Amino acid sequence: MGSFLSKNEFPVAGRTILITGGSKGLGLEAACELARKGSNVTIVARGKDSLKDALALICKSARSPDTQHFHSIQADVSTAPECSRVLSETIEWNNGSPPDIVWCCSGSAHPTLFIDTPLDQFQTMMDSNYLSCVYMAHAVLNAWLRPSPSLGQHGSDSPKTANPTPPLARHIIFTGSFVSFYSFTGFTPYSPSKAAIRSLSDSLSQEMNLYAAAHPTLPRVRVHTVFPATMPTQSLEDENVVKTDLTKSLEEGDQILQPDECARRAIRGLENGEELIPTSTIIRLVMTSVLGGTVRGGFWKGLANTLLGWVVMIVMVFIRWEMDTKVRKWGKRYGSSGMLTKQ
Amino acid sequence: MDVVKMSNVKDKTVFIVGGSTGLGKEIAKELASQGAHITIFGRNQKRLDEATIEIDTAKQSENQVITAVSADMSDATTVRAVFASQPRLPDILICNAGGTSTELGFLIDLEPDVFERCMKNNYYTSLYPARAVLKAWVEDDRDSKALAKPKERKIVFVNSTASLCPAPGYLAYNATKSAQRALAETLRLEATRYNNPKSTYKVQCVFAHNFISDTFLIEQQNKPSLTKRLENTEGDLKMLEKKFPYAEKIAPEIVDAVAKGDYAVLDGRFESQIVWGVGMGGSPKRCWGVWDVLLALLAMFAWPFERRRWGFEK
Repeated sequence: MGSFLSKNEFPVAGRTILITGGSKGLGLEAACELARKGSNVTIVARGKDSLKDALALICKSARSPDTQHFHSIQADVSTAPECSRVLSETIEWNNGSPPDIVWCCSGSAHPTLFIDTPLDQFQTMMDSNYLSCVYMAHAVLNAWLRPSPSLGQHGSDSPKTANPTPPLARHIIFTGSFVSFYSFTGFTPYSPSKAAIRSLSDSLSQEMNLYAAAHPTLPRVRVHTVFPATMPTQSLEDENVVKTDLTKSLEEGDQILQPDECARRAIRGLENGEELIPTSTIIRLVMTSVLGGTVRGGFWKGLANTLLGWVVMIVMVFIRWEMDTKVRKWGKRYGSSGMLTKQ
Repeated sequence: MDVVKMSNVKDKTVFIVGGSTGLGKEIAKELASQGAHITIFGRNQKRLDEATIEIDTAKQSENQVITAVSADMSDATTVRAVFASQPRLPDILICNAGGTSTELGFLIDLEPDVFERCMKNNYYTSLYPARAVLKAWVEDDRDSKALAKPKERKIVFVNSTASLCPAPGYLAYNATKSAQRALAETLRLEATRYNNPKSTYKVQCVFAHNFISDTFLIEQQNKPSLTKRLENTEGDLKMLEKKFPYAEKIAPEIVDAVAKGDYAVLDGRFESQIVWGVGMGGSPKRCWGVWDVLLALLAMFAWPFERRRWGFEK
């Protein structure tokens, strides 16, 4: 059941963390916060200039600038070969060892109405949001669970040391969205990719039980997904350029959270050992009603989540109905473009 | 709530993407026996030809048109061209393409190209046809005259209990079905905006539970043993037949349930209902929602025990 005293299930001091999408928004804030906690960080992004600026910020946040190391890699992680390359470069930079923690933040949203969305956007969304996560997970899990002889195994399987304490767990973290749980008008290009990420997280978490049991001496792999609240970032500004007024009106009442606060809440959730980590109250409430087969977090937490889930489930019936009504009324009043000015 | 509960498919035109084998073919035959014109879309010409004969045999009257088109429905440009070349707009689009015979297994045992392929077969083959048809319908509404009764336009996505209760060994597939389900739910809401005096738009999602078909039998050859144990599909065909129905048994149940009009469509088995109870989350409840809420409460109780059994099995 676990002690009630807070046990840190996500120690990061002295450990190495790889963050994709680490040059902006949530990824950058997470990198800075982790640097403050003493870890070595590699960030990955497509833009050379934003990587440079980001790296400078992260270095400034370092707790012990003399001993901590920081690195950046320019790459487009939406393809398998690129993810492979990112990982091998990180291993090389990290003295032959794979990173201890991987956090996939790369992705974007293009919320437009279904038939108005340019055809290639659907593939772009799926590639940059979901496939990037699968490819990264595939590369790093192969390194963790099937290490090649040339890689240093860091004492994980060494019979020499009588190791009473189990090796520190490794972590892979995905970034989901409110719409992973509950999607609404205007998000058809985006929410399928975010729902896929949630599914990946659950599936992988199940699989990791298998490896933990089969290889008890290897470090356990924990799988998490962080669900960030809406954050005022450059990405949000890009999103809002294409977003319909209808979607914006449905999002009224959304909790807006600064990315650094979001990162802090995410890390707190990781330290508590949570698998699915909501960063706002609304997200937590919705999440409890859609947990389905997901791990509910131990006995007491699980009970609390379940009870909350029952309440929210009833509430959801009304929320759904309210949204349906809003959308229909909009269609009647403003036509089908989703924009306030009649088109 | 629908005033007309039972939807009549007589003389209606139905497009079925992935209609040449398995559940898609059986649904096509059932709809043909109820009087609909059917066009099936698939990749394998031989299977399409064989299916056309079967569907033709099942039809009610000689006026019914049964055709087949061979095309890669995961490509946006192909889909647009293929639909534009059809003589008639469909009244109903059924997105049934999918399956996962060659993408089963645990993440690190799979080759990276598997994930895109699985997404293509299960998600894009729903996405592009749905988009093409919805666009065509909206344009048709603009140009056409109003009829005495509004046209009923319907998109049915064939999903799976994999998106409700993901099982290990289906990692690639589960994600694609979650994606398809999110698309269906979002689209359901978006489509209601297009309702007008000339047409009503409806989106439905079939959560198919394990059934026996040719694809299923191929899957069984590639499935990890652990997966079979967890989802209770161990054993030879004789044993499986005792536990699971053939596609032709559940097809009429599904067609009936689609006609009733609820967003979520399940076949008749209680097992399917319970899995829906576990995974329905924020999805629209059926009818007034009373039965679904009770199912969900029951499932919430029972599920943790099942999940712990899976944990122990591993």
